[in-house]
Amino acid sequence: MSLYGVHKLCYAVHHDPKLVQQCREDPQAALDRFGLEPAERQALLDGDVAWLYQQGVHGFLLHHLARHRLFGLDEQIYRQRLSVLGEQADS
Amino acid sequence: MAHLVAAAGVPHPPRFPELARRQGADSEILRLYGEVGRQLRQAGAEVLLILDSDHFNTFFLNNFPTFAIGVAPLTAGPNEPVPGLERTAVPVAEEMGNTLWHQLVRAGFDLAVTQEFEVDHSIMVPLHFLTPSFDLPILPLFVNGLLPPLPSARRCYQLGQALRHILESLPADTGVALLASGSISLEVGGPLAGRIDHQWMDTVLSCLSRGAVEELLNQATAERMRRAGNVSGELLNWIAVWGATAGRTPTFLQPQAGYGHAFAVWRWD
Repeated sequence: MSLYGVHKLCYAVHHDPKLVQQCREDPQAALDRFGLEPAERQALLDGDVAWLYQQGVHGFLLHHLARHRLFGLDEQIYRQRLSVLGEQADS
Repeated sequence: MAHLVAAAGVPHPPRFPELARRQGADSEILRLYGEVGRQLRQAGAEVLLILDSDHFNTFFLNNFPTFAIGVAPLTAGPNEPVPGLERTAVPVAEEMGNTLWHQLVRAGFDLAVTQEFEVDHSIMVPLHFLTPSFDLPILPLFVNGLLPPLPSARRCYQLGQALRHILESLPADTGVALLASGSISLEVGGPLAGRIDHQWMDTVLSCLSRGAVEELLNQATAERMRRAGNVSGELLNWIAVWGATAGRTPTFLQPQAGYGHAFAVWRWD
């Protein structure tokens, strides 16, 4: 899994307010253009940031999803979900 | 010739502009950046050469340089949302940048170049405090401090040494100050977020204040910096600036331990 599509989505939401809006209104369609693998797509829709982090998504970019409150995430939920990983320093 | 008039290191937390504004005149943030800015002006800085790590705002994984220099007449930033900062234009020392690009490649440092770019909070937050009118020309030299594999600490130190050598052989007599932008221990968006690696902070600050170059270059491995947080590779900017000072001890060094970062100035005038 290259994770490129996931990284690109995280980058794009930080620079494109229209995409943020689309992710909120029609998340399925918003994800279409990022060439995601089915498991990546599902994890994003579920806000499963712990799984995405474990696959190797860079935390700095992943955090943009919480910053822009997408896929059911906010700062607190993001931290809670990552906390199941303990104190890993992998990616 | 150009001459290096001073060097400094500062952090760049995106929340500092708003936080300092709320804190008002007694703000420690204002005091620390204020001290660094005052010393850079006093030393005669005419160009600010900034060793900086982009946070996936200027560059992305479609094209991500390990080392890059920005060479253009003008840049602007921040190119991302930062509370309290409006997008502002900043002049760039284009001619000096062009020379450094060529001379550094000739010296064996294979820099990428960007001739059209904007910069993120890691440049605009320091400028907001150090040069609030954004009138001092800057020259950004980007070092990958966030995306493994990072360049080695020794390579970055050598980059600083080469910078000094080249700057001092330039024909134009311009006062150049070096600025390292970055934290020492910080994690953003990972499981270590909120934890500061105080042991690593102590090691780094101790090495800087003793001029223990070899000790820090040996200890600042990618693995050790990663354990201190996923953006702790920003220390490489400090190490490059330190190389340009020939490993001098700073004349001003003030940690903000709770944040995992420090403010420093090197003066020799």
